[in-house]
Amino acid sequence: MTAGMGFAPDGQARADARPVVEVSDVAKRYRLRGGRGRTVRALDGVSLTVGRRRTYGLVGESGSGKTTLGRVLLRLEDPDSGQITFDGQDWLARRGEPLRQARKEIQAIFQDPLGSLDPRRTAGYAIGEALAAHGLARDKAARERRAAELLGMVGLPADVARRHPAELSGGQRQRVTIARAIAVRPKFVICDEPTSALDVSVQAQIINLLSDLQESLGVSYLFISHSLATVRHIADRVGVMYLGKIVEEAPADRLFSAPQHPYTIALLAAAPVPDLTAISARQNGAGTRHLGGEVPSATVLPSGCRFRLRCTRAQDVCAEREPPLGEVSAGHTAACHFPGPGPV
Amino acid sequence: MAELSDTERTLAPPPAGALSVQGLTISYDSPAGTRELVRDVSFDIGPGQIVCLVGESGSGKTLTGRAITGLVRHSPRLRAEGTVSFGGRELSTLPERELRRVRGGQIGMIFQDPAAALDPVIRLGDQIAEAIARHGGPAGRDSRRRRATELLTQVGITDPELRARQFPHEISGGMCQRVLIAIALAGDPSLLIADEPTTALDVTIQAQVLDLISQLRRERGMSVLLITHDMGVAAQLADQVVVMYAGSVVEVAPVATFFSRPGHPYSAGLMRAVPRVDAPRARRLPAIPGTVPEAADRPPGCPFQTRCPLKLEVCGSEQPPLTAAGQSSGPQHLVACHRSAELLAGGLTVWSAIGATS
Repeated sequence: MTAGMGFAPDGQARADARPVVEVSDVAKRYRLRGGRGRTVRALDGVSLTVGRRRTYGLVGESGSGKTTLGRVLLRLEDPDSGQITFDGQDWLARRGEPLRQARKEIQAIFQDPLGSLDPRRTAGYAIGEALAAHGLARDKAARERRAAELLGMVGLPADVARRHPAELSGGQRQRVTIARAIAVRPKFVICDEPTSALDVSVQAQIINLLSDLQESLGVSYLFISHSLATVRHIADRVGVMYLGKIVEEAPADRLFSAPQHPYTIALLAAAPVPDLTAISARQNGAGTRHLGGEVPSATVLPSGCRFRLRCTRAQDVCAEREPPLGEVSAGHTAACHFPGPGPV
Repeated sequence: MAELSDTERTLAPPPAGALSVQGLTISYDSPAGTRELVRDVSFDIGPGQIVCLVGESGSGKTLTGRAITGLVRHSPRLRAEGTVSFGGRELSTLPERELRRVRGGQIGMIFQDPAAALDPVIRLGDQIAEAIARHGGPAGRDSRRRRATELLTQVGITDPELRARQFPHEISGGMCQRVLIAIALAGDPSLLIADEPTTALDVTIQAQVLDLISQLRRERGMSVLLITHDMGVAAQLADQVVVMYAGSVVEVAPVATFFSRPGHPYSAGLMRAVPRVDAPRARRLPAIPGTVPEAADRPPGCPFQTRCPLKLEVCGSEQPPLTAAGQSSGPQHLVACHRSAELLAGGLTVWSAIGATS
């Protein structure tokens, strides 16, 4: 299906072993309106690397900063400090026309496709507009031809081009936004909760589509989600965020088979599993003990470790010193004074 | 149906909290004819039982929940037929004035978006006190306040006096849902209808709220109808699972039976399609192809036929009735599928052939 795409030829991809995106120590604070100088630390020193043709899964609950990181990468917000390299170049240094031209390299898909499609415009128009904005189709006929081709790539019949968002199902709409994102041949796509608003049976279709497109187009993803289960099925590497910081990071298999940070372990335990083991555990009275408390406000972080107020492993040292993101095994880091497996 | 006479009621006191929905059909008239949003839905909830009504969007699960307390009466275009008997009383023919006492009284209700269900300009404590007053709680402001504080403690809110003085925007979504549960408890309900109560919450907070619902059931002997799209939530909480698809009930089963031997191809497919934290990464997730048909596009016959790998000719003409699934499963396992007997006898593999497609 990539034939004739003229996109990311294999030879070039192999030669190019550099990561697509490198985020290093990025911080972003928001001043609270009427907050007497109080700030929210949305990102508090975040570093991560997204490999070429790879998917980085970023997991966290609301308020963890995962969406802010996506917005910073899209240059919708500028960070207060830190560096971002995109394709080997300083991404934050780009301004004006060079930035406008480079914007097509990084595309995004969001949770609510209805919110990112103009209700008065057809699906074909939405895709054609993206092509025109980046000078990728000479005329109307070329745009229409290409739009039909892109709809085919995301598994939609060509006549969807004539339909308006309201005439499409949630899954079809999300396919249209994916078609629009890949229309401009990006190297990197930020997927911010792309399946959260969809029905379960359709979620799996979209995850499979994203995997297929990665294989055929060689695109890299930052996959932002609150759902560890979803991330498990698409990510190569996973970072878990809590209150603006990555608290654990590992290759996906490692993170799920041997989680080290108590927050990751609690998140895994809290995810309801649809099968008999959950039922028999419950019937034996061996229900999981769930994480108590709530995420504290990002305006007044606790001293030391930001997770300690909800953590059963917390000791005096956790209130005194913030644990650095330390290596627990090759390629696996955790920000905890007492990392290790086991219940929390 | 006809109300029981007083003697009949004393002779056989119906258990509190028991609910029986029979033949519930909700329809509206469109220029193209009558459309059924919910078609002939029947299920029972025993006293103290948790029943999970599972379905995707457009399945009719939310409308079913609303119809139980007569809320669809307020939609002029919708027509509800069928009977709803609760604690021995027939609700579908109850005058609105009496129904209002049941709603929020013996039947408590909580919904998906807790912040939207609270009044933003009234203190939390006053909102609970108002519910207490409405449902014949203690007279006097102070005793109502005390009762409100008690209820906040019961739903696991620490520092209840402080919280009672706060406004909805000052507390988190998880805490809003706890406050709404407290409001529902103000009428001392014997049945709680919870429509996607944890969908808007973070996963660690969802676990806390589900624990709370299960604890309240245990302590108060309250029945629960939990409406959810999440199979995992059903596995965690349900005694009985009712699966709806495109307006119809397609399967009813005790929870352990349901997850070990789903009798409907849709149930089996949905179970497999859920991404799981405990399963290794598969190259492809086993999706169910296609989407749920809209009410206007529902084919005659089985509602699932357009997506079903086991479809036969008969499925296109006859809607299969909800009947006992087969000898191997017991009388409580009901399935609406022409091929459920074959499926449960183990003679069919439903989804393996499909697993590789998108």
